[in-house]
Amino acid sequence: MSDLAIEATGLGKRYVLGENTSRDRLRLALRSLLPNRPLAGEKELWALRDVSFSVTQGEAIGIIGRNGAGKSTLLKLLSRITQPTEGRAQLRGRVGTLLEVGTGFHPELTGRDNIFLSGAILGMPRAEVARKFDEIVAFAETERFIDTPVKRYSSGMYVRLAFAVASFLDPEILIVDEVLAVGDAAFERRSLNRLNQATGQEGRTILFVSHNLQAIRTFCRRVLVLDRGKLTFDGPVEDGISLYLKSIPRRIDVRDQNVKDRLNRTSGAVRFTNVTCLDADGLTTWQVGIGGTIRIRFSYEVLEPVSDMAFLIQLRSATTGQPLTAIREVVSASPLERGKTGVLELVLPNIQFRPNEISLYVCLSQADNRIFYDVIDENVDLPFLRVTSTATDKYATMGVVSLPYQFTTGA
Amino acid sequence: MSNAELPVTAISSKPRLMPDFADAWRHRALATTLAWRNIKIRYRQTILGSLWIVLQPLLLTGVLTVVLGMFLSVPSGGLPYAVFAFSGTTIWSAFQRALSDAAISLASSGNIVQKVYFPRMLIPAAAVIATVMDLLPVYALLIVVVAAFGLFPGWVILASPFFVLLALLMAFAIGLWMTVLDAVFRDIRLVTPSILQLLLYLSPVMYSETVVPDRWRALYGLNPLVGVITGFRWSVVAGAQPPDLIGIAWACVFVVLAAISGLMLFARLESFAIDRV
Repeated sequence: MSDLAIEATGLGKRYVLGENTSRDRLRLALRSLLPNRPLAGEKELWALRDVSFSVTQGEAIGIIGRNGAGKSTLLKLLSRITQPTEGRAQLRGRVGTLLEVGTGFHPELTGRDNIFLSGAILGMPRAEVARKFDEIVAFAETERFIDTPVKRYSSGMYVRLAFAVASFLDPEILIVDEVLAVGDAAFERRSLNRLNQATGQEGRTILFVSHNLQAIRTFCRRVLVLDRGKLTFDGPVEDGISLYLKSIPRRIDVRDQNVKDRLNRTSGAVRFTNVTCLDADGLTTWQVGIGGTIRIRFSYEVLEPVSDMAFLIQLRSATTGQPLTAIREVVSASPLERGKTGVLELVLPNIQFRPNEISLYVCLSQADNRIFYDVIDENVDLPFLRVTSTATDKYATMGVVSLPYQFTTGA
Repeated sequence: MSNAELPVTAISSKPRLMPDFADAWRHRALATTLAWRNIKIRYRQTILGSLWIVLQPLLLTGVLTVVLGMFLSVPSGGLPYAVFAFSGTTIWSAFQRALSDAAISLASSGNIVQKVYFPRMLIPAAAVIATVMDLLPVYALLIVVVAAFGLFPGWVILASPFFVLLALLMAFAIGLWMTVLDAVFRDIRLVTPSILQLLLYLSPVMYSETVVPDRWRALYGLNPLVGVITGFRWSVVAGAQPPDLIGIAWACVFVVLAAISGLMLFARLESFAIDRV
């Protein structure tokens, strides 16, 4: 018997598009009773196709790719939440999944009840869950609220408990999707330590999806890169990450990306259409060395007349989500008419951030900030702005910013 | 931990003929945990809690006794009408609740089934198990009432769990069909109350099946609940008409057929349904 924890062969998942009417559903339901046969006429989308890889027990594997690359589909297939359309996989050991915040928690139940429910979902005997109980509660720092229904938890507490449950209930294979970003920085660090411990000392296997490349770097020795449903890379972390970064398009069309989320949060009167990031020579890049210059260009289109417009950008740490700096400018103090388009350019000369990955949070709003017109952040597929350094002195790259300073020595 | 003891999960695009029973067995603790969850959630923020469960068949019995027993003098096979009706509504309401909860169970668990995996068959199973908890206080009250009327049946009462089990298995088997279809087409939950109502009128809950004319008897007996309800009544009330063995045999055959076909349909459509909950 080999020590493979996961072996996936030719995995693929097809979704049928435009299945809107009940008649379509009825037709599909009837057909799904019959042996799998090729579809004729329907629009279909392969969210994932022909993905094969294997994972040795105790490995921590990072999975990266742009939005819609198939990362979540892959995790859902491996955790058996959905069935593949083709291919197969074999997993050795119990599989714990943490695909979203509070996975499998019931809001009406208390933290205590939810811990036992999660254990039962993993197929663990109650006594075994009881043994781990105190450890979980202590790690999640929810002692005082353990008998409160989780619907009253803050989102931070919720994530901490969910993570603690998933990582302490000791599944042999742990599947984690982009969940750590919700917690605070301290918790994220503790979580990564916990995961490290789980793979290193306890020999657990972890599949880890994250946009946080730093977390992937510290934690994984191998990455899978997915691009439009295909596995394009399987190997060392740095090579995978640079391939992934290269695959990011230079001029990013955000007009139709995740409009639903944006409209939930804003009035939608103005829409960002494109984002470009240029270096000092006018070449597109999302990387800049310390002291370098970048220009970020945002195109917008006015969809409904607005009385005035302001622009707000926050540069945030991609690791912690914490704003590093913010800039706000009035774009127009007078009304803008429907159909007007324009370009906003922000030039940041002499970047003095230390090597880091920076995510953007950008809004258009009414000048008094009462109404937001559009917002883009993680909801669209913007790459991180990478600040790099060739300095070899570790004290020249440590921390977040470089400050101008004078230093003198005297006798 | 050695590799060899670890459970192996095979994921394949091939549809299964039957659900994975070994996996379901590994997760058996989950069925009761889910059932407890259902119960806790149901009575959260209620004042009387599970008392409502006892009240429901009691109220139905009261209305039936007044309207059918007193006003219309519906035949009750020689038993006091109130006892007749209460024994019928006890088993009927267990069946009805089990079936209607099972029917909507998969679609109502959308938030959990799309985020974690466990054998989905346990969801309708938990809905049915939860009704056992509801049934217990009603059952206890029924025994008290029967004894108060001096109609305690003696040893034969030990047969009553069998009929309860038969009713719940029947609800589970039909529930398998309904819940997987309901996840895709919500029409199912809209027609369930009507079907149950028709079934109530077609079952000897509020009237003795002696009112059914002989030439209709065979057709009437096709309702598998007839054997279950008369059997249950016979096992809990002294002097109730003994059940027809053919009726009980038919109920058992029906349960087996419905369960096998329900499990096959469930295995086949489960993944399709989960993607569309």
